[in-house]
Amino acid sequence: MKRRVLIVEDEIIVADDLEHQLSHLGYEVVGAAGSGEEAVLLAHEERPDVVLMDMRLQGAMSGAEAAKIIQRNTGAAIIFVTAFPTVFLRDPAQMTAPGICLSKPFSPVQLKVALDSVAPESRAENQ
Amino acid sequence: MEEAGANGAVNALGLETIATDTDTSPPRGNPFPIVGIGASAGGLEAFSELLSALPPDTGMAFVLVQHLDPAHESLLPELLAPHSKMPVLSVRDDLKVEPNHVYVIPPNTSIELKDGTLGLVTREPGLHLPIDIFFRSLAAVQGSRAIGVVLSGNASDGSVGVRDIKAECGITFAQNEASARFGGMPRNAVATGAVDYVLSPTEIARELATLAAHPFLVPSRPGDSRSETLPEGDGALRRIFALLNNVTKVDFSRYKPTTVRRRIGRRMMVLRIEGMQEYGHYIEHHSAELRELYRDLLISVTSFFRDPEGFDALTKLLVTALLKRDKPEDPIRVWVPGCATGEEVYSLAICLYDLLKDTQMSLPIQLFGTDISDVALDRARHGNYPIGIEEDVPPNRLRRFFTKTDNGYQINKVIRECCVFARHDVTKDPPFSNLDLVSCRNLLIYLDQTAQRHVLPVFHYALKPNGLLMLGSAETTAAAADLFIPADPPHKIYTRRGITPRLPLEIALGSAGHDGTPMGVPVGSSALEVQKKLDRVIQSKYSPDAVLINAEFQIVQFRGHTSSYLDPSPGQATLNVLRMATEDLLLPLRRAVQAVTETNAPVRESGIELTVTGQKVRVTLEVTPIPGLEAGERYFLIVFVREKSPTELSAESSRSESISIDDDLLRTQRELTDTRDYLRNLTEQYEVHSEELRAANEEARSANEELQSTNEELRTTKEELQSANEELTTVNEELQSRNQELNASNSDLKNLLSAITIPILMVDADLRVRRFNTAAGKLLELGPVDIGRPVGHIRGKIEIPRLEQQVKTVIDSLHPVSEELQDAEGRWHSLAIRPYRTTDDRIAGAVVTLQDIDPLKRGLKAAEEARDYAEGMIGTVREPLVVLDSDLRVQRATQAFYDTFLVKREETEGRFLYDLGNGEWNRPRLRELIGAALFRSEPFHDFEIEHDFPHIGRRVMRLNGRRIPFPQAQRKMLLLSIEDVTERREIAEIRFQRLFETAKDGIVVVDIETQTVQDINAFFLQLTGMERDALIGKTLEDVGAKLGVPGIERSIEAARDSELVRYPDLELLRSDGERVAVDIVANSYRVGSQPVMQFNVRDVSLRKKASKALLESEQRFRLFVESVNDYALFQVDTNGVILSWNAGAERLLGWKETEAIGMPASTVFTPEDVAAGEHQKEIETARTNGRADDERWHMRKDGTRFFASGVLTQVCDDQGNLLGFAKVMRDVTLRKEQEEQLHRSLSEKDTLVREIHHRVKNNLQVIVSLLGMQSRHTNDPHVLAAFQEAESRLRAIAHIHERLYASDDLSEVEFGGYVTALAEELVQLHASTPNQIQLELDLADVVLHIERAIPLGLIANELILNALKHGLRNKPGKLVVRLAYIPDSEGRASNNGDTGWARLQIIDSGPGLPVDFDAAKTPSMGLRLVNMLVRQLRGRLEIGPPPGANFCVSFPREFENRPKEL
Repeated sequence: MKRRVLIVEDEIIVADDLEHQLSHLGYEVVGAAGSGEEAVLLAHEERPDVVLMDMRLQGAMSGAEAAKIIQRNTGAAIIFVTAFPTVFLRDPAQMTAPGICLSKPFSPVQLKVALDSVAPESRAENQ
Repeated sequence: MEEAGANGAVNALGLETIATDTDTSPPRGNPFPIVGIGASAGGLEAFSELLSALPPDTGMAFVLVQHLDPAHESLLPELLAPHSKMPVLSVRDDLKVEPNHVYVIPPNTSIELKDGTLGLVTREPGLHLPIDIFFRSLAAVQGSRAIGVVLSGNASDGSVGVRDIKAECGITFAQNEASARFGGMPRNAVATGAVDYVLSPTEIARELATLAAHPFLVPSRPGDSRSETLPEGDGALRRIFALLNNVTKVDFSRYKPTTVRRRIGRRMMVLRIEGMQEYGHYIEHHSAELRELYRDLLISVTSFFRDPEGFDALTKLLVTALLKRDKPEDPIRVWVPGCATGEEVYSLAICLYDLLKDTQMSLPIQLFGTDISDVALDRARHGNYPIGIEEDVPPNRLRRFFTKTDNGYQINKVIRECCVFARHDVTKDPPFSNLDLVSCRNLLIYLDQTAQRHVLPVFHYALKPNGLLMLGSAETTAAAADLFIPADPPHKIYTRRGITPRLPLEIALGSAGHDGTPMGVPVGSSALEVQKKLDRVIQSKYSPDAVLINAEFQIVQFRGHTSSYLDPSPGQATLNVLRMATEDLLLPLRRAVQAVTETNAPVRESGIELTVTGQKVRVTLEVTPIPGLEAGERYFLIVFVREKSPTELSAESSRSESISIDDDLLRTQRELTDTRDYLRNLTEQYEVHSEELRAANEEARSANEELQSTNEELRTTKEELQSANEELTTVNEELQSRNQELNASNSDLKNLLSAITIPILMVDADLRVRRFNTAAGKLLELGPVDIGRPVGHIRGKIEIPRLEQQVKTVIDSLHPVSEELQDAEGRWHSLAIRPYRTTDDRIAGAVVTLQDIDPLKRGLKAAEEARDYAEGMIGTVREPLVVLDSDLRVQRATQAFYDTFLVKREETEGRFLYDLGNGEWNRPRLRELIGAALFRSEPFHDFEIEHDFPHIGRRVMRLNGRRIPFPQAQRKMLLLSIEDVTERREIAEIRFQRLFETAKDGIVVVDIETQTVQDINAFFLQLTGMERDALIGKTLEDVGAKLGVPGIERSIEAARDSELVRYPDLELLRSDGERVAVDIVANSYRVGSQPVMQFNVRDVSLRKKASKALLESEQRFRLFVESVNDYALFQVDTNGVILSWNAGAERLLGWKETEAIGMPASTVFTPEDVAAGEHQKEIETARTNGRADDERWHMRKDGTRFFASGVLTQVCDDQGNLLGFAKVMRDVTLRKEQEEQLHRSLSEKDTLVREIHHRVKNNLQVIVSLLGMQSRHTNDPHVLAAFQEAESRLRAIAHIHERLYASDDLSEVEFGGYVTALAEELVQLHASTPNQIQLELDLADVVLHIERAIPLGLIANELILNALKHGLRNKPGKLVVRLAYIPDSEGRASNNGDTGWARLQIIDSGPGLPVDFDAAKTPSMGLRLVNMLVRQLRGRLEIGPPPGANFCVSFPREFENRPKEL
C-alpha cells in the first residue's frame, strides 16, 4: 500500500516538482494545498499519512498552525519544508511531531531520507 | 342480717355516680378518634413514613408529639407537609381539633387535649415528657377513642402514656425495633405490656386506616351507643366468662358488665371481629386471646399518690386511729386489694413511713398488696417504674425512696421490705385480718352490686375495730351501709362500725370453688338474686323456728320465732344455747346434740312438753349436723317443731281424762326412769370427761408454759440479734464515714504534696521511703517503685551525705537537723530533717525537705559582694567622705577624711556635724543645703567654704552632698564628699592670669557693683592704643564713651538676664583716631563672692575685608552663570528644592526664576519618571558618587517635552558638608531624534535583509525545482549529472544565506560552522559509501563577509564533491577539511584582525591527482569554477603534495578597499 502524502506549498513550481519527486519515490500524492486553511480541509478529507508542510503560506494561517490542527485531526506525520529552519531553533513550540524539517532548497535524496524517517509506526504513536 | 333491697335506692344512686364517672365511654370527648403519635430521635423519618402511608380520609385527627430543641424554631410542619395529603398545622393554644388534620407540637411546650381543643402547657424545668403528658390527657378526654402511637426514640417517654390509654380502653401502637432508628422508646412502651400492636410505621398507618372503620370507633348517635357498641350476645358473654373462670379462676361475671363489655369490644376491634358471638368462637379456639382478654380486663389505672388530698386526709385520720388502738404496740397492718402494679401500696407505705417518723412512733408496718393478675404482682414485687413517675412523686420523696436505674426508678428496699404482694381474689378468697386500713380504690367500680355487697363485709371483717377503709372517688359503701361510718366523706374514707362481723359463713358459703373444683356454669347474677329473695320469703313464711349453733353451743344464727324456746338468761349476755334454753328443753336438747355429735346423723326428740305463755305445748326437737369451713369444724341446726298447740293438748286431755291419769302416771314413771338412767349415765360420763379434761388441761398448760418460755427465749435472741445488727450497722456507718474522711484527707494530702514545690520526702521508722511529692521525685529521681526502698539508697541529682544516719539521729534524738547543700548543677538547697509525729504523738519516721534556696543564696552573695564592693570603693576614694544620719550625726567617715583633717575616728563618729572641729561646718548656707538634700532629696554640688581648720590651717573645701537612696523612705542618710581645692584654686588663678595676658582678644573686667574697670589685658591696650592707667578704675560709661561705644554699660543690665551678651559689628575708636571693627562678647560671673563682668573684644577688620572680596567674586560668577543661555543651570538643596535658576534654565524649561526658586526639582521631570522615583534616585546617586549623569526626557512648564543630557553634581562647603546639588542640563532632543531615526532605519534594514535572504532561498528552491522539472525531460546521464551538480551548487549558496539569516548582522558568516554542515551533508548525499568515509575537520574560527563567503562556499562545495566523486569513489577513505589563518602576502600574521589571510584545504586519501594535473587547464567544469572563484577572491589555488588530492586555497579575508559600513 502506497503511503499517502499531502503537499502544502504556495510556490506552484516547487509543489509540482515535489509531486513528481514523490511519485518517483513511490508515494501517492493526495493533493497540494497553497494555504493553511486549504491544507486543513484537504487533510480532513484525504487523511494523508504524511504532510509536507511549508512554513510560509498564502492566507492567514501559518504552516505551524496548520500542522498542529492537521495532526490533531488526522494524526498525520508532519515534515516541515522551509527556507529558514532556524525558526524552530528560536521557537521550538512551533514544531510538530515527529520533529522533522527539510531546509529549502533540498535534494531528492534529502526528501527521501526525511520521508523514510517517518516510519509508519511513528504515525500510530502519534494518533 | 342481710336485708334484701333495704338499700335499693342508695345502690341505684351509687351506680349512677359510677356510671357518669367512668362507665359511659363512647359519648366522651370528640366524636371521632384522635391519634397521638409520639417520637423523639429518629422521629422525622418515622413520621414521614407513617403520614405518607395514611389515606387522607380516615376521619381521625393526628397529633404529633416530637421532642424538639427548645431553643430552635421548629421546621417540623413544613418538613412533614409534603408527606401528608392532610393539612399539617402547628399547635397553638385553644386550637379546635378536626378530623383528617395533622397537628404538630411546637418547641418548648407540652400539649394537652381539653375536650375538643388542644392547649399548650408551659414546659416546666426538669424532665420533659411531652408524650406522656399528651397521652394522659388524650386518655382522659377520649377514653376508648384514644389511640396512642410510640415511634422511634430513646429513653422512655410515652411508656406511662400508653398505659393510661390502654386503661381507658384505647388502642396503642409501638414501632417495631427493626424499623425504628432508635428503639429505646418503643421498647420501653412494649415492656409495660400495654401495647396492642408492634409494627413498622407503614403498617401502623395501614392498621389505623382499618381501625377507622370499626364500629367500636365509628361515631355513633347519642343514646344508642351501648347497643351499637355491644351488638348482642348474653349467651356468648356467659360462655366467655365460663372460659375465663376455667382458666384463670376469676369469675368475671361478677364484674360490672359494661366495663367488661367495653374491654371485650376493644379486643374485638384489635382482632377486627365485629360480633360478640364471633368473638366467643374465636376465643374458644385461641387460648392466647383468652390470656390477652384476661390481661386487658385487669388493666387498671394506678399511679403514685393518686389524689394527693385523699392521702393527706387519710394520714390525718390514721394518726388519730393509731392513737386510739387497743394494742398500740401491734404492727400497723394495711391491705390494698386490687393493687395492680403496686403504686398504691408503695405510696401508702411511704406515707406511713413518713407518718411514723413525724409522730416519732416506731412500729413495724405491714402492707399487703393483692391482685388477681400475676403479671401485675410480679411487676409490683420488683418495684421498677418508668421515668414518668417523676410527674406523680414529689421530688423529695423520689429522692428518698427511689433509686435511679437505667430507664426509670426502683423503690428502695426499706419500703419494699414492708410490702407483701400476693395473688388474691377479693370476691372469694378469705380475707386478711386485724387490719388498720384497707385501701380499695377503684376496684369496686369493676364489681357489680352483688359482688360489692359481698366484698364490703369482707373488708369489715378484716378490719380491726375503728379500722379505716378508703375507697375510690366514685365508690361508696352503699352496698353495706350499716358496716361503715363515713369518716371523711369527700375523700371516701370510712371507719369500721363496731358490730359483730358476719363474714365467716358468707365466705364459707361463697368459697365453693376454693378447693379447686370448677364451679360449672355459673348462675347469672340476676337469677341468683331472685332465688335468694324467694328463699327468704319461704324461710320467713314456712320454715320452722330454728337456731344454728356451733360445737361450743354458741348460737350463730336465729331463724323464725325462737322466743318460745329460748330465753336470754340473766347475768352476762350470752348466746350459749344451753344457757338460753328453757328448763324443759334443756335436757332433751343436750341429749340430742350429744347424740348427733357422736353419730353425726340427725336426731329427733319428740314429745317434749313445754309451758309457753302459761299453756302447755308439745314440741319435737330436730338436730342436724352441718360441716363447717375448716376440717373438724361443725355446726348444728336445731329445729323446733310444735306438735300441737297447748290448748289442743289440754282439750284433748280433758276429753279422755279417765284414761289419761293412768297414762300420765305411766309416762311419769317412764320419764323418771329415763331421767335416772340418763342422770347416772351423765354423771359417769361427766366424771370420765372431767378426769380427761383435767389431764388434758394439765398437759396443755405445761405445753403452753414450755412454748411460752421458748417464745420468750426466741424473742430475747431475736432482740439480741437485732441489737447486734443495729450495732454492726452503726459501726459500719461510722467506718464508712471514717473512710470518707480518710479519703478526703488523703486527697487533700496528695494535692497539698503535689502543689508544694518544695521537695518533700517522708521516711518511715525503718528508714525506708514512705511517700514523696513530685518535686522530690524530680530532684531525687524517685519513681513509684522506690516507695519502700531504704533511704540510704537514694541517689538523685543531689547527694545528701550520710542521709540515712542523719535521719536516724533525728528519729532518735527528736532534734530537727538542717543543712545547706549544693546539687550536681551547683544549686543550693536547704535540707531539713524533722521527726514525723503521728496524730497520737508517736514518732513514726522523719520528713526530709529540700528547699531550693539557690536564688536566696545567690541574692545574699550578690548583696555581700555589692556591700564589699561599695565599701572598697568608698575606702579607695581619695576624697574624704562623711555619712550622716538624719540627726546629722556622723555615721561614718573614710580614712581620707581623717587623713585630710588630721582628726581621730573617736572624736568624729557619732558626733553632731556642726560640732566638729571648731565649727567649720556650721554655716547657715551649708545647713540650708544639707537640710534640702536630706529631706527633699535635692543634692548640692561644689559648695565651697574657706576656713581656718584646727590642724591644717586655712584651706578651701568644696562640698558635694546627696541623699543615699534607700528603699525604706523613713531611713535617711546623707553622703557628704569634701574636696580640698585650695591648691587647685591657686593653679587656676595662675592659669587664668596667663590666659588673660596672652589672649589675642582684648579683655576688660568690670566690677558689676561699682561698674568700674578692674583689669585690662595687654592685647586690649594694643588694640585700642590706650594706656592702662587711663582705663583702670574708670567707670564703664566713661570708657565706653572714650572708645566710641556709648551705652555699653547697659550690657550689665542685659547680662543680668542672659549672662552672655553679644555685640557684633561694633567699631572702636582707637587713640590714633582710626576705627577698628570688633565683636564684643560680655559675660558675667563671680570671683569669689564678687560679681564681675568680662568683655572680650575681638578685632574683626581682616575678616570683614575677606568676606567683602568673596561677595564680589560670587556676584561676578552669578552674573556669568545667569547669562549662560544654552545650558540650564540650577541648584537644589539636599531636599531637592530649587535654590537658583539661570537664564538658560528659564529658556529651556519655561519657568521664570521667581517661579522656579522654592519649587521642587521634580517638577521638571516627566510624571512617569517622578512616579518611578527617578528624581530621587538621581539625587541619591549624586550623594554617593559625587555626580549623576543622565539622559532623559524632561518637561517644560507648558507640558512639552525635550530630551536632555545632564549632570547633577554635589555642592559642598569647605568642611565637606553637603550643601546641595547643582544641575547642568542641555537640550539634545534633536540628536535624540536623529539617533532614533537611524535606529529605526537600521532595524527596517534588518528585516528587509532577512526577508531578502528568505526570498533568495525560496527562489533557489524554485530554481532547483525548475532544474528538477527540466531534468525529467532527459535521460542522458551526463545531462542529469550536470543538473545534479547545478543543484548542489545552488544548495551551497542557499546554505550561506541560511547562515546569514541566522547571524546577528546578516552580512557575516562563521565559515567553520558552514563548512562542517556542508561537508557532512555532501558526504551523506554523495558518498557512494557514506559510512566508510572518515571526515576529519580542523577548522579555525573564521568569520567572512557574504561577498567572500559565497565564492568560498562554492569552492568548498566543488572540491568536496570532487573528492567524493573521484578520490573516494567506491572506497573507504578519509576526507580532511582544514580552515586556518595564515600570514598574508607580506608575511604579517593575523588571526583575528580585519586584515590577514586564511586558507581552506581539502585533502582526500584517494589515489591522488594525475602527475600532469594543472588546475588552470583542467577541462572539468567544477575545477574551472574553482579557478574562477579563487581569482574572484584574489587568492591562490595550490595543489599540495600527494598522497591523495590536496587542494589548498589561500585568500585575503578582506578586500583592501571595501567600505566598512553598508
